[in-house]
This record gives sequence, C-alpha cells and structure tokens, in this order.
Amino acid sequence: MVLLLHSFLKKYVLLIFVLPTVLNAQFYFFGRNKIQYEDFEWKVLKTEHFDIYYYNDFEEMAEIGASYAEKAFEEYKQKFNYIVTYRIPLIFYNTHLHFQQTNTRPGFIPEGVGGFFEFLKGRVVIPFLGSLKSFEHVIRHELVHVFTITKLMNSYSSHRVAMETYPPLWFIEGLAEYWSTQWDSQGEMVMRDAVLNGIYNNLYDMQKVHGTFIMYKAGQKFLEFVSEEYGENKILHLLDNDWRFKKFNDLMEFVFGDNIENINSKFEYFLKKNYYPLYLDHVPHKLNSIKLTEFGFNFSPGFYDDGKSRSVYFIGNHDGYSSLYRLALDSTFNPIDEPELVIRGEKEAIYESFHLLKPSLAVSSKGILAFITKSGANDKIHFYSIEQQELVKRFSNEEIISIQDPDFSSDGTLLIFTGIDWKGYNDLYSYNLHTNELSRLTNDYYSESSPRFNNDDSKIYFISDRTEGIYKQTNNIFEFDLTTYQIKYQTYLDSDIKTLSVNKFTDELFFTSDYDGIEKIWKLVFDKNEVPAGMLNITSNLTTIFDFIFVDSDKIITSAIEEFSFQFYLNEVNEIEDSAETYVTFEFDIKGRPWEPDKIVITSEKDRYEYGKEYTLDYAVSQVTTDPVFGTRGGALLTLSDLLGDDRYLFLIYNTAEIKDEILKNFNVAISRVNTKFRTNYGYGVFHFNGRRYDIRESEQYFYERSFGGYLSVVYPFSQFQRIESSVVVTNSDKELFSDILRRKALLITNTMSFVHDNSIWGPTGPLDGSRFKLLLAYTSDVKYSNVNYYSFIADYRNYFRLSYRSALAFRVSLFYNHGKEARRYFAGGSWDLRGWRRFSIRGEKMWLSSIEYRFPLIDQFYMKLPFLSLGFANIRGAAFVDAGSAWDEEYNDTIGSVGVGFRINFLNALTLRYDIGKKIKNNFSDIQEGMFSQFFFGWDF
Amino acid sequence: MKNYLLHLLLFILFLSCGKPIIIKFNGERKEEVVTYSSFLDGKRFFIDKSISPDFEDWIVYETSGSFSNSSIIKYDKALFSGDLSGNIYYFSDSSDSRRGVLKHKGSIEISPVIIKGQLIFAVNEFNQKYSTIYFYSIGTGKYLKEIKLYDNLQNEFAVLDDSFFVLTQNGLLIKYGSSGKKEWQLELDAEVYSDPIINDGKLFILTSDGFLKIISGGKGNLIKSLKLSESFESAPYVCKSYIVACDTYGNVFKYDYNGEQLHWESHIGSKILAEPVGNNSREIFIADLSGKLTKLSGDDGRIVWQYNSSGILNTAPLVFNNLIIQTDQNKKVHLIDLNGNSVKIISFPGRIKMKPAFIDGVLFIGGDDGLIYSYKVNPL
Repeated sequence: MVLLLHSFLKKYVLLIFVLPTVLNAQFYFFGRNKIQYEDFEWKVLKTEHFDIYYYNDFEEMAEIGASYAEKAFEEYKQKFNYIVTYRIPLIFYNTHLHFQQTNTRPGFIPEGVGGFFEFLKGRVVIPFLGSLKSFEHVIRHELVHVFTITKLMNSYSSHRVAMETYPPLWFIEGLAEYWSTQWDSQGEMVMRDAVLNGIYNNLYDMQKVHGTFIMYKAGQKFLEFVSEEYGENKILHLLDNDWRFKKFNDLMEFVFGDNIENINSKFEYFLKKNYYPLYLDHVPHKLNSIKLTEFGFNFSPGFYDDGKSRSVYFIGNHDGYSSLYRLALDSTFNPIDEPELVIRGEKEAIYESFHLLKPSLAVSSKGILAFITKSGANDKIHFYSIEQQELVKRFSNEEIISIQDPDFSSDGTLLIFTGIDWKGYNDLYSYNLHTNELSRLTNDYYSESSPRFNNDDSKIYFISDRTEGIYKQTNNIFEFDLTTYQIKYQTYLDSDIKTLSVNKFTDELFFTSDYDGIEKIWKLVFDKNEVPAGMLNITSNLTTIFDFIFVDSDKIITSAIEEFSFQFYLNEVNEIEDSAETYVTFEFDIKGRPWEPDKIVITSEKDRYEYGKEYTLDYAVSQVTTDPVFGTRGGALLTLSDLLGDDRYLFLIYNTAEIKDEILKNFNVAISRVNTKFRTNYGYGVFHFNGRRYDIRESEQYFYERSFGGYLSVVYPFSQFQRIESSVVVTNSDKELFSDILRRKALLITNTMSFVHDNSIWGPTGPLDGSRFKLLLAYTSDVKYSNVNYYSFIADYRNYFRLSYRSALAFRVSLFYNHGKEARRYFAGGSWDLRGWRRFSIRGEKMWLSSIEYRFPLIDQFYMKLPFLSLGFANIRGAAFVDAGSAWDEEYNDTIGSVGVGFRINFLNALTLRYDIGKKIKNNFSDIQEGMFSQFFFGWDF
Repeated sequence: MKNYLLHLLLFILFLSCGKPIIIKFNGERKEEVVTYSSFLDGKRFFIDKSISPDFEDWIVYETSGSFSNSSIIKYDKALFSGDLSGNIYYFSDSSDSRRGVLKHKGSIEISPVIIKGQLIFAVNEFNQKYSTIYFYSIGTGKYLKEIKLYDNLQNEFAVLDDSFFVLTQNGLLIKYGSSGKKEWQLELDAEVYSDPIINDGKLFILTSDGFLKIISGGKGNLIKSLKLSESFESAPYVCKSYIVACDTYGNVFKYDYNGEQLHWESHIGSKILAEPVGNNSREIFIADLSGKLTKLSGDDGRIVWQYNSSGILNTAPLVFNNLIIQTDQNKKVHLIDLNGNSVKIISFPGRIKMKPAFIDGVLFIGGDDGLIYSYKVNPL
C-alpha cells in the first residue's frame, strides 16, 4: 500500500500539476468543452443573511430574489428550529443558458437542472427561468437544502457521530419540494403516471426511481402522507433524530412509532386511494387515442400539409442526441413509417443542443419550419425550407439570450416568440422574416409564454402571470391587440394555463389548464357579445397533455406523458357531456393596480459593490506514511478557489527524504493557478521535484532526478466539441541512473500544440456514438547542454458507429511518434489498449495502436437475495474485440495484437471494472497463443 | 518507532475511557434533592434580584458534545452537566478542571437530578429505540440501577420530595422513587414535547394536541384535562390558580384552571417553544422562534413591547428585577432592560444551546462547541 502510494505521489503528481501534454503526453483527456462565452460583470448585494451575486443588468431580479430569500429564511428558521449562522452566498444567473456556463460546479448542467446547493462552499446557484413564481420556488427549494444539510451536519457534530446516518436522497429532495411549494400539476403529472402505471407503488420502489424526477415528487408525496397520518411535526423529528440511527428505516420506525411494513402499507394505500378512483372518469391516452410514436422522447409537434403529403415535425431524442425529426402521416393521420431524422443535434456547434423541455418549433403555411437551438452563447432560430430541405435563414440577437414558443402568422411573414433578455425579462417579440425587423411587444417582469396569432393576425393570444386581483400571479390568457397594443384578459382562473393553440380551421382558442389537477384541454367560450365567459373541458385524459396542435378541424395531435414516456397521440376533439364539472364560468375580479413583486433595495455602497475575488479553501489533505523500504514520507495538498469558481490555486508539498540530511533538499513543491473565467482558459505554475523515481517508459529501474521549472498552458474552445490546447514547459532536470551511475543534466523547453475534437455520447462504460480525435505536435529541447532534443507527434482517432440504441461498433487508430535525442518512449499493453499483453510491457519511441470492438448490453439487471446479504448489479455490458499494434525505437518490431471478449460493469459511476479473455497474436499476426489469457482491470472503454 | 506507536496507541486508549465520578465530601453532606429547577426558587426563570449587566468572566468548562435545551446543576461544590455525545461531567465550581466523566453511546438531552446521593440521568441510546435512565452513586462511583424505556426522553425530569417524574415524548408519565421503583404510571394519550411543571403537589403538562393535563403527584390520577388550543410544545407558567400557555401558532392564553375560564388570549404570531416567564409585577415574558422577546401585561395580555433579536429564541429568558438575559441560538446572549431596550449583546463563537442557569451568583451559558461559559454576576 505504501509502495503504491509512493509511486502514485511520484508519478501522478506531475499529471495533476503540470499539464499532461508534456512529460506524460501519452495520457490525455478528450471531453467536450464547457465554454464561458460571456465575461460577466459580477456584482454583490448584501442583505441580512445573504450575499447575492448577480451580473450586468440583472439587478432588479436580484432585488426581487433577495426578498424571496429573506422571507424564506425567516420561515425556515422557525420550521427547522435552527438558524444558519453563516452568510449564504446566492449566485443568480439570468437564464439557464448562462447558468450552464457556471464554474461553481464542474461538468455540464443538463436542461432539467433548475439550481443546486453546492456543499463545499455552501453556495446556492440558481438560474432565472423566465417566471418569478418558479424563481421563488427554486430559491425556496435550495434554501430548504441549506437548512437541512447544515442542521444535519450540526447535529452530527453535536452528537459526535459520523455521517453514516445521512438520510437518503429521496427524503432530502422530497423535503425540499414539500417545504418549498404546494403540490402542483407537475407533481400530479409525475405521480399519477407513476402510480397508475405501476412504476411506483410504495417506499420500496424508491430504489427504482432513484435520481429521477419521480423521486423528487414521490418523496414530496410521502411527506404529505406522513403529515396526514402521523402529524406534520414528525418531519422535523426525523431531522432531529437522524443522528441516532444508522438506517433510515429504523429512524422512521422510531419517530412514527410504527414498523416499516405498516408504514409502507399505509403509504401504498394512501397512494392508491388518491389515484385509483381517477379511472372512473378518466381514460389513459393509449385507450382513448391513436399512438403515433413508440420510442424516445417527443415534444413540440408542428404540422404541415402541402396538399400532397402530411407531416409532423418535432423535437425528440431517440438515440441520446436531441434532434429534429419528421413523422409522415397518411390521409387518416396515421404514421406511414418510423420518424426520420431531419437535423441531428448535439454533434456540431450550430445545433449545440435542442430544447426538449421547452416549446421550440413552429411550421408556417408556406412550408417554413422555425426551430430553436442553443448555438454558442445564445439561442438561435433556424428557418428551414421543407420543400428545399435546407436552411434558408437564421435569427439571433445579442440582447435576447433564451428563446422559445415560436408561432407564425397565417401568411408566414411574421414570427412571434418569447425571449429572456439580460435583465431577466421574459417578453413577447415579433420578427419579420422579410424585413428582418424585430419588435418588442412587452417589456416588464411579468412572464409571457405560448404566444399565438389569431386567424386574421390582428391579435396575439398569450399566457402571462400578470393576473391581478384575487388570482394574483396565476397564469391566464391575455389578448394583445397589434394595432392598439392593448392587453385584455381572456380567462380568469385560480389555476395555471400552460399552452395555447388556435384551431385555424374554426378560429377557436384551445388551451391546457391544470384546473382539476393535471393539464387537460379546454376550449374558450364566448358569450353572445363576444366576451370570454368561461371554458369547456374537451379531454378526459388520465395523465398530462404537455402540448398539442390541430391537424384538422376536429383532430389534434398531443404530446402526452404515459408510462414515463412522452409520445404523440392522435385524438378526436369531443366535447365532454355538459356537466358542472366540465364547464367553468369566469368571474372577473380585477381591481387595483397590477401586482408588483417585493424587492429589497440596497443603496449603501458597503452592501452593494463590484465583485472582487473571494477565495476560500476547497480541499486540504495531508498524509504521513512509513515503511521499511522507503522510510517515512509526508505531504499535504490543498486547493483554493474563488467563490464563483473561476480561479483556482493548487498547492502540493511533500517530502521524500530517506535520511535527515536530505530533508531540505527533498522538498517537493508544486503551485499552480488555473483560470476558467473567460473563453480562453489558462494555467501556469512552478514546481520543484526531487527524489527517486520509477519511470516505466524508460526502464524498470529507479533513477534519481531533481527537476524544477514552470509551465504556461492555454486552452481555447472553438465550440463545445472542439478546442485547441497549447503549452510551454521549462524544466531544469538533473538525472542520475543508479545502476550506471550516469548523470544527465538538461534545461528542457517543451512546446506543445494540440487540437481536440469530441462529440461522442456515452453509455454506461464508454462512448457509444459520435467521434473523438486528437492531433498533437510537440518539441522538446535541452537549450543548455543539448542532451535532449526530440519532437513528438500524436494522432488518435476514434469513431463509434451506432448499431442500435445500446450497441455500437467502436473503432480506434492511433499513432505515437517521438524522434530525436533522448526521445521518451511510449508504452502499451494491458486492458486499455493491447489486451492480453502485460500491462505497459510494450515500449518504444514510436508506437501505433488499433482496435475494433463491438459493444453490446449483456445483462440489464442481476440481483441476488441471500438470507444474510443482497447483492445486485445492473448494466453489465459485453465486448468482442480485435486489437493490433506495435512499438519500436529505430527498427520496426513485429505487429502484435489480440482477439477476445470481455465484460464491463460500471461501478457507482466512478469507474468501470473490466474483465477480458482471449488469445494473444504475435509475429505479424501469424502466431496465435496457445491457451487463453484473462485480464482484470478498471478503466472506461476507449 | 514501533515502541513509540504502541505507547501512543495505549495513551489514546487510556484517554478515551471514562473517568468515574466519585465525590467525597469533607464536611456536611447535603441530602436535599438537587434539580435544575431547584436553583430557580421553584419559579423556573424569574429571579427576584437586581443585577449589574457587567459580568465578570469566570470559568469556561469543556465538554465534548454540544447541548440540547438541558442545563447544568450544582451539588455542593460540584457541577454536573450532560452533553449530546452521551457524556455526563462533573466539574468543580472553582476551577475548569474536569473531575469526572461518565461515557455512554447516545445523547443526554435533559438535565440530571441528584436524589439521596444518586446522580440520575437519561441517555437516548445510539442506534437503539430505547432510552436508559441510570442511577449512579456519586459516593461509591458505581451504577446502582438502569431502567430501559422504549421511547424518547427529551422532557426534563420533575422532582417531588425524594421521587421524580419521567415524561416520555409519547406521553407516558411515570413516577419513580429514589431507588428507581415505579410508583405509578399514567398514559396521557398524546405526545408531549414540553417539560412537566410541578406546583402545589400537582403536575401541569401541555400536550401536542392542545390539552392541559393536571395530574396528582401523589397518586397519579388525572385531575383535569382541558382543551385550550391546537398544539403546545412549551411548558406552562403556573402561578396560583392560573396558568399561562403558549401554543405553536403564536397564541398565548392565561387560563384559570380551577374555574376553567379563559382570562385572556393574546397573539404574538410566531411559533413558541420556550416557556413563558412571569415576574412579581405580573408581567409575562415570552421568547419565540422568529427571534422576538415579547412582554405582555399579565392582567389583560396586551403586548407592552417586543424586542427583535434577529435570531431564534427557543429557550426562556432569565428575568431579574432590572434585567433580562435572553440566549439566542444565533451565537448571542442579549441583555435587555425591563423596557425592552438592549443593554448589551454578548457574542459567542458557537450557537448558544443550553437553558441558562443562575446558581449562587454565577451565570452558566452553554454553547455549540461543547463549552459552558460561566460569569460572576454582581448584585446591584
């Protein structure tokens, strides 16, 4: 263990602190690029309990968010009987697009993530999504996390117990939902579908839905059940007593005074009692409609009929990439074939990603398809000619960051949409395709969505939360007169309206509303004076309708959820038999001024200022080891970063002295700074390393080296998929080989340049689709003693040919080439390249590798239940492969390789365990090994 | 190196063992019952004295865990306190040295009591669904008895003569004699999250479903059960024939329990966990979770003033004739005059958790970091 640690410290510390393009050029990183497109001008607003970070024009929303946060703080300190005593950093981004650029968390942030609480620095990071109500909800949700986690940590510390008693994720997320919001149609959508379709039945199913949105809502529902069955105060008691039990089930039994089987049975009954009676009056989509799609996720339908053919264009994800698809329909509106791909997303910069969860497609009567993708810093609207099957136009505007909900006028000249600007205002816009003129129709903090032209294009219907009076801030329908710019109420409900559609055939307005729990379709009804009077229920769907369009006067295609799958259904528009439950009368009660959100306005300069970097410690670890061979070693590693995560410092210090006299000489130090604030990321640092080393690229002997120097590295991303990397390293190296008592001094300068491409997507154990490649050029020279002088070239190309949803043929070819004086060797062999050959045993200044591998699913789930133990594995994958390669210095050696099969298991998403068996091949593929090899190791597929 | 490591390991092992609490007295042995309440003249939190706001730093005692709303007790020159890591400590009242510690795996969330030379304390056992009441002889340093109760013990013991009462969270009230023999028990049919109060031989208990239960301390029979509100989680203030009770919705009631009549009802607005405190002038002081300390007129329940600490107040204030000491979980102790004005705010490095105790002219305040700060308080 000590030997491994020693080797690790010696070998890999350089990987960490001096960019691997130089001394360890062989191991490198592909990966997509998280790009900081904008140079945000951060500012700070200090309230009583929060430090609020916002940028540019987002000031008003920051003041509103501050008010939400302070109110929530006062509420939660009483609810938790606990106060957070440190100032909480709240970091606001004005859109989800900007939020995706945050450096407070590594990696990419999917569109479904609405905010997070980051535990290391206690930061709460929240995007504004266009609506003040959802902004408030997310702030409250994350603050529940802050209180929960800090209270639990305080409790563990107070009781001097370890964190092994930490509650499960479903409880943490369920509590955050339960205490931040009322039960709403989104929760109802998820739970209704989950319970009625057998996806979620009781507490034991929490494992099944772990990490999904169902888990959030199931957790929330469970707490609702606890409150009803055992009392609301029991929820706080769970937190207060969490320290006491190692298992959460034991804790629940203790707090509720009931055994877990009973608790579970009662909860199951609670769910069934709630949802099963719905079958009396509601029908599943699959029984009430014709299912048009069977697979993947399908949203934003747009219908086009040119008189000769009918198609539905939509945004979907069928293979891991969100893309634009077309579904051809026959004369009875039934699908002719499977959906076909029109434009692939997520593989090139211009279609960086489609927005699955937001309405982002419209089709004009002239055959122009408008769809929205993220492209670089902002969203863009692409105009695609259906007839010509090509892009004809693009629109974007620097001031409008996020765009959704497009709709064409009947003549196809105008496109209306909603957009979020730098202030966070979510407003209506109109764009003229011929003149390129952009008009802003609203300009306020009220949230707008789903704009639709009426039949004569004189008015726009849209949904807004500007509702006043007793139903303040609910989402109702308004009419915008394009001549007078007057806005008038069309509905007045104490529930939310989600999407609109104008039936172009009849000029009637239809919409989805969660009036009785989930989104169903209703029709707007006018009185004899053409004034909106009420709404009539049109559908009796059991689970939510997400979106819908008219394809005929009495036919609609809906995007609906069922069995946790978003598919399209064809429905007849039938009016439900008139009854008290199906017709709702509006009682308009609008008095007084339009509502205004509360704000906290800070004027003191002490509490409102430009952000200056605030560094805190991220990570600190120290270790002392001792063994009879190498003696005692010790060291420490610590990292600092600023609050926004843009700037990091790393410090490493350790000592490898074997005798007292060597202590001063054998201090190893590395200091690095990495800045990722701007689009161009850079890093620089200095180092001093001294001691015995084992470098497997050279020999299996130890040598002694003292090296010190510095480096500078720059990375520029062209897009999410491609980047250029460059570095310069200066190293003074003084090396001794023990066995030969040779000494080599050098002052090395290494220049490196590389180009990296990666648009692959991954399965559980490695890439399944897309491609990755890297081209590297480097030159290393000893400028003082001329002892070293070589150039390097690496070309590594990998492509993944998708054969089915979960299988692929992976192909790799790589060339590694060093040439010159004291050129370093590359190495291969082992589970990562030439399987069957001893790990790292193939070495040479030049090397080539090639592999073909068929990757497929083997066992989806494997579960063993023993009396004393339960063991389960999921996603066990198989591989069949052929590897080939060679390594040489001056003269080419023979080509070697292997053929075999293997198994891979993804272990906790942290690493992949691999086991391969097969036969080695040598002598230019003429000799096949007798017997078989077997090899076990870890590592992702290439 | 090996020897060095072995010695180091032995030393650590030695340190981790408990050191028994054995008290040997020179001089007169005190036999009376010692409880937290007994140092407050039976009135819990009102002290009929005037004091200077300038405290003199005295001793800081160290424990290893933090505290709940329990408190410290004193027996002769010995101080006893439990902590949330399950330890019970014996300190000297004149130095910071720790004279003894008893270690358990769990937490001690209520103040210990001393009856007939026995230290009696309750441990909520780690990873178990029961709690244990221990009887420990402080003269011999031996455990005499253990009683297991399958419940949570977070309500203070109440003591009457040589007996004491245990009130579990699930509403089981038990009377034990000094030897640990059960004399009677009574199911209250409700959960209880507040301390029982003894007055005139009777126990007064407010339940989580809004009832006031009055029980005879001698025989254990239920004398009265009166529905006052929706839910209580704080103890009542009992004075003569009336009580003052605060519910979890911020309502305060003054109730004549003999005549079964409501005198007045007042509304403070925030959840109240601390018990109300009354003084000689018939004023009522109430601390709530929104951080407000409110003074009400005892005659009509009118709000006289409210002091906003901006923190969270879940312990009752100590009320003197001229000064109020209010601990605040937000790492502060507020000194407030009787007109509601701030006199001084003392800040601490950790949260203030313990109920403050005023014993023999010394004020004790316990913090999150396991430290008990003591101050000499001078009379005016």
